Parts: sequence; C-alpha cells; structure tokens
Amino acid sequence: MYFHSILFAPFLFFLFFVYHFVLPKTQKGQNLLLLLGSLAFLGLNDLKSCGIILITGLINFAAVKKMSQLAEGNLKKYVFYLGCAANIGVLGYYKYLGTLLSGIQSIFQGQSTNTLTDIIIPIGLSFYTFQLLAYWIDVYNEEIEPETNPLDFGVFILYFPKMLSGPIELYQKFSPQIKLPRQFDTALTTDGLRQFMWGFFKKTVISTHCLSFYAIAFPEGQTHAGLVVLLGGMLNIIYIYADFSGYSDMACGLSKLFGIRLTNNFASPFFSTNISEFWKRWHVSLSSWIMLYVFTPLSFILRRHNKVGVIVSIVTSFVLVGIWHGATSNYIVFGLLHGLFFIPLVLRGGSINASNSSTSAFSSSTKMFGTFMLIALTSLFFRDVPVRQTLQEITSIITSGQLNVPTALFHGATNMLYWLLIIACFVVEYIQRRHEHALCIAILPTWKRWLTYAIVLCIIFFFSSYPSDHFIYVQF
Amino acid sequence: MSNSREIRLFWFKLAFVVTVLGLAHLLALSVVDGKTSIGLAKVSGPRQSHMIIGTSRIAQAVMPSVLEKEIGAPFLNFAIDAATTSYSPTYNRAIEQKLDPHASNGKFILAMDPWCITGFYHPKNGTVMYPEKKTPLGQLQTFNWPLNIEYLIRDYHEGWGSIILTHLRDNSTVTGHRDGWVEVTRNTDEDFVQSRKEKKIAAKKKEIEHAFVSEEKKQALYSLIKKLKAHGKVYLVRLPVDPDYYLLEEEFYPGFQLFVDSLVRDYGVPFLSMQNMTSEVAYNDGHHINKKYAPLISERIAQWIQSTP
Repeated sequence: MYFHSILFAPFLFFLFFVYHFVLPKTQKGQNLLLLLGSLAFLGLNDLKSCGIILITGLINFAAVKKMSQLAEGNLKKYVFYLGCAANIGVLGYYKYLGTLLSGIQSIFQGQSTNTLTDIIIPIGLSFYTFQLLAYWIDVYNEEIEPETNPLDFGVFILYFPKMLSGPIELYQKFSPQIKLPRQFDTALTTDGLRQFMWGFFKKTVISTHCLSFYAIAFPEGQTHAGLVVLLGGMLNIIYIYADFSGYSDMACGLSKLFGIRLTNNFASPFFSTNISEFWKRWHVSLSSWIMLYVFTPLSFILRRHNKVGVIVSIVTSFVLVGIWHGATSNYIVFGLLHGLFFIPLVLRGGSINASNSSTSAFSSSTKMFGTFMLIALTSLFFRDVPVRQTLQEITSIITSGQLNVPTALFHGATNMLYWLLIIACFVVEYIQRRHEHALCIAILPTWKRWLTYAIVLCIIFFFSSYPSDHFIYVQF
Repeated sequence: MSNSREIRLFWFKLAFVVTVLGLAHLLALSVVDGKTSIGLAKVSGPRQSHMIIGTSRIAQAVMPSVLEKEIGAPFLNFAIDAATTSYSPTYNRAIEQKLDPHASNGKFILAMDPWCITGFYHPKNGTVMYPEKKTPLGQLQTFNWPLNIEYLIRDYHEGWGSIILTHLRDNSTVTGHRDGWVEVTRNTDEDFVQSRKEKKIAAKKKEIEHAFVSEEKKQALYSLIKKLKAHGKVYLVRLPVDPDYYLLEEEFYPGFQLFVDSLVRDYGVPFLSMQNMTSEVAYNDGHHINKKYAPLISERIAQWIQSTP
C-alpha cells in the first residue's frame, strides 16, 4: 500500500477524519492515533519490517535513555559506540552483507550461490537508521535531551508519511511539532493537498512516462554508444527525480494534513548552477545529514591540511552517500564522482556553499545546463550494469560520433503529448522554484487556482500510469 | 487554527472535488470493454460449466463462440498468459472459483505444451520463482461479480480516464471478448511475422536458460485433471506452432510426448496434437496463431470433441 495506491485513499481519509474531528484534541490521543496508523501502514506493507523496526526502535529508546543517564566517561562513550555500531550492524546485515558475500563468492568461485542475497531489506531501513544515528549522536553530544515518552519516540521513528523513503528527520526538528496538540488548519491542509497532488502528478505521469521513454532509448541488456547515451542519462535522472521528488512531495503534503511539517527534500535541483548548489537542493535531508554528521566533523579533524583536508572530507562524505544507496561498485563510483566534481570549486578558493547569484542569465543558463548534464551522466551509474560498461558508454558520446536517437521516441501524438507534459512540469517548477513546492498557489485568484486543480487532476485522470507498485527509493 | 466557517468551506470544497472525481470514475466504469483488459471478462460474470484452460496460445486460438455453435455448450476461455495461467496451485484456485460446483456434464479443454508446466529460477539467486502469485488473478478474491472491479483495480495500471480514451479510439490491437477469447490483431506482412518470430525465439532461448520442467506444476496439472473429471470430461490439446518453435519445445523438453502419453494412460483423458496443421495456419510470431485461423482451430477441436466417445 503506497501513497498512490487506491487502498491508501480510504486509509488516509479515516485517519485524517478521526485525527481532526473525532478524537479530542489532546497531544497524547493524536500521537497514539498516529502511532497506530503508522504501525498499520507499515504492517500492511510488510509485517516483518514492522516487527523489526518496532523492536529495534524500543531497544534504541531504552538504550539512549540509559546512556544519557551515565556520567561522562569511558562507559558512556562505549555505550554510545556500541549503540551506533548496533544500528549500523542491523543496516549492514540487511543491506550490505548479502551483496558483500556474493561479491566475495563470485571472486573465488566464479558465480554466486549465496542465499543471503534473498534477505529482504525492511522498508525504509536506511532512512530509519540514519535518523536513529543522528539521535544517538545528538544525545551523546548533549545537543538534545533524550525522549522520555515512548509514545512520542514511536511517532518520531515510525511516522508513516516519512517511513517508506524519508525525509530523514532530525529529532530536534520533528519532536517539538508533536509535543503540543495540533489544531485543524485549513490553510496548511489545503497546501498539503496541493503538494500531494503535485507529487502524485510527478510520480504517476512524469516518472512513468520518462521510464517508458528510457526503456525505448536504452533497452536493457545492451551496451549503448553515441548521442543516445546522453539522452538515456537525461531521461534516467528525470525519471529518478520525478519518482523520488514526487514521493517526497506526497510525503510532505500528507504530513501537513496532520499538522506536521517535514523537511522539503527537493528544491528545484535541476536549476542549480554548480554541483554544490545541486546538493543543497537534491535529497536535502540526506545531504544535510552527511554535512552535519560526516563532513563537518571530518573537515574539523583535517583542518590543518587546508584544501586537501576539505577535499578528503568531501570525497569521503560523497563515497558514503554512494554506499548509503548500496554496497555495489556502481553506487561507490557514483558517490566518488560527485565528490570529485567539488574539487574545482575548492581549488578555486570560493566557498563550496556559494551559489552564483550575480552572473548573467546566459551564463547562469549555461552553468545550469552543464550541471544538469553532469548529473545526468553520473546517474547512469544508478543502473544495474557493470561500472566498466557505463564508463565505456559515457566515453562513447565523444568517441563514437553516432547520432542514434531512436525515432520511436517522437512518433505519434501520444508520445509528443508526454514530452509536452514533461517539459510543462519543469517549466512550472522553474516558475515556482522559489516556493516550497510547485503548487504553492494560495495567492492566486480563486478561478486560477481551480483552473490549475482541474488541469492537474485531468492530466492525472487521463494520462497517469502505474507500471510498478513502488517508488525507486523504497529499495534504499 | 481555523474557524468553523473555514472548516465547513474546506469540507464543501473537498466533497465537491471527491464527487467530481467519483463521477468521472463511474463514467469510466460505464464504458469498460474488452479493450480495457483482456482478463476482465474472464473473471466477471457467473460460474461456468465448460472452460478452456491454458496460456496465451490457447487464449488466442480457441473461440468459445465457434465451440458453442458446433457443440452447443457455452464455453469460457479462462486462459490468460504463461506468467499467470500456466498450471499451478494459484491457477487451480482461480479455476475452482470460476467453476460451477454443480456442473456434472462439463467440457474442459486443457492446453498442452511444455511452457504450461515450465518453472523458472531467479536469474540472480537461483531460487524458484512463482510469478503467478503476484499477478492480478493470483491475488484476486472475487471471481463472479458482473463487472469485476477488484480485478480492474489490480490489473489496470493507468488512470481510469484512459479507459474512456481507449474506448473512443478504434485502433486497439488486443481485445478481450466477453466469452474470454483474446483477439490480437497484428501486421501479417511476411517480413513483420518473420521478424517477430525471430525475436520470440531469441527471447524464449534466453528464458530457457533459467527454466526447468516443474514437478510442482505437473502436480498441479494432475490435481486439476482429477478435479475437473469430477465435473465432466477433460480434453488435452496441443495447438500447432511454427516448426522452428516446435523444435525449440522439443529441445527444451524432449520427453514431453511421453509425459502426455502418461496423462492419457493414467487419467483416461483424450489428447489431440494439432501440430500436423502447422502448414494450414499462419502465426503472429511463430507461437501465437493468427486470428484468421482461430475459427478453423476451434472448429477442428469441436469436431474432435464430438467424435471422441
């Protein structure tokens, strides 16, 4: 049961109605309902994941509380390390052990017969683990007080809008919102519905049609060469973006229905003029997490090495971003490349956080296009093909000189309409790039708002598609 | 926090949008037809006494309307495709749900070819796969609604507005008829057919790398025959295929005819091989018969059934 499945609609409506209009507006009652709803949501998706997350969540709750009561010293430090290691261990067991063992086996035996690759990763485990790690670190560093209420802690870790694929929420940002009773706010709820609608559109219209175009341009099981690789990369990154940002918009929108704001995971990343800006706009909750808990401490440790220290910190952080996606060489190379893309920025001496706001429109557009192409090409490492093949394909854009874009992509009125919708989506996102989401249209006159709703809903009704039942980032 | 007027207005607007969307979906439902989903007619409507069972080959080749004209019994073609309706406990469950429990003089035509009893290993970890369990038919709870909305929800992977668009368009290449026959229209130019055949054979050869003759599927077939025999007569039919495709089947399972012989012997069911008709018919891809020849195939089967004691 995902956000775009038909069964989710009655589930959501029931929860929303009871939450705001049946239950007395008490903090405890609302949190209890959110916890029960989240458990039901998770259980309906995967009962085993629900069990694992519930058990590990309870252990973490008790362990962090216990750690915070210990006096400063070695014991506290060991408990902290043990807690972090245990969480990483659970993630490692489910996510990395199978891949690692089958890799080792295939090196020595030629092929893998490892049954550990069958281990099903509990839904949302990577997102969940990173939240818990941040919680452990922040309590240990006394940045926050540990949660004493198991109900509130349960809502923090299991809250269903963010359970499947994030955003990765920090306790200090999420927790204050559930410490008070939430009142029904029509403005926030309407905004949430608008954001959900835009996410739904991106997921079911843009992402699915991009995927079908990608399948035409880039049939599986073949090595591609020439200009089609460029097109394949563009379609691939647009597909990933539409799918993941679509999910994130739906998650944030849903959460607003319950009066809780989640981190906006995407801020029009394709309109970035350099790689640093891109990572401030793409998967914001993960990049912020890496910045806070990996890059900042690491660059502090390496501060004496000046630029080399910064570069090492950045590259390490991005390799970790790659590994977070999976332990295969594809993701590691993906992370490594993104880390290396930062080197010119560091060497040039500017701050890696700087974005170019004073450049001309032409210069900005060129930089946006260049950044987009860089991201598009590196997205090819997200596929389940050997790294060597991807490198060969990317090199072939220059070396082969083939202008082999399949004409089938542009055949027929339906395909042209889908291209038009993809372009329209990005035009709207560009116009609305300074807003939280593309359908922030509360200030528009009523008729314009309703016309927008009608257009988006009609497009969804007539042109949406649900070829697969999941979001790409659920696998991570 | 909102005041009660704002809340009322919010509910009014929401109810308006939900009502409009609901009406649009009802409109889509009212124009559902064979172009919407090939399986929908098979799982809608009452239980049946006479059924055609197997995979896509028989779904496209045997027309219940022709059988009814020849034999006088109303058949339902309950075959979909190899992933969904090769013999398995899942398919058996669906057949049981669709079968009239009071039928005692039924006629059941069962497709026989190696792919009906073929299982597959997962290409990466070598475990046996059960794709049929994840298909809409495998997950279905209702089989006899006049219009099976549950199946539509599970099987239709597009916005319901496209049901209306498909209904209005007249260029559908695949249509599911009310009696379950699947009508597939393909370009019959020799070059196209040859190219499709080559692609089909190449794809099948690749598939075979992870395929095996499944004992589990054989067991499901045995149990299906036993079950159906309690409700009437069972007829085994091997439909014709292109000689190259036939060769591939023989290579994959050289003992297939012996297996069929054992079924005939052990269960007392008649068997008809139609491979000798291969030169009389044409195919879409070497595997599926061209729709022009479906009446001929159906007629021959009807004649054979009538002549079989």
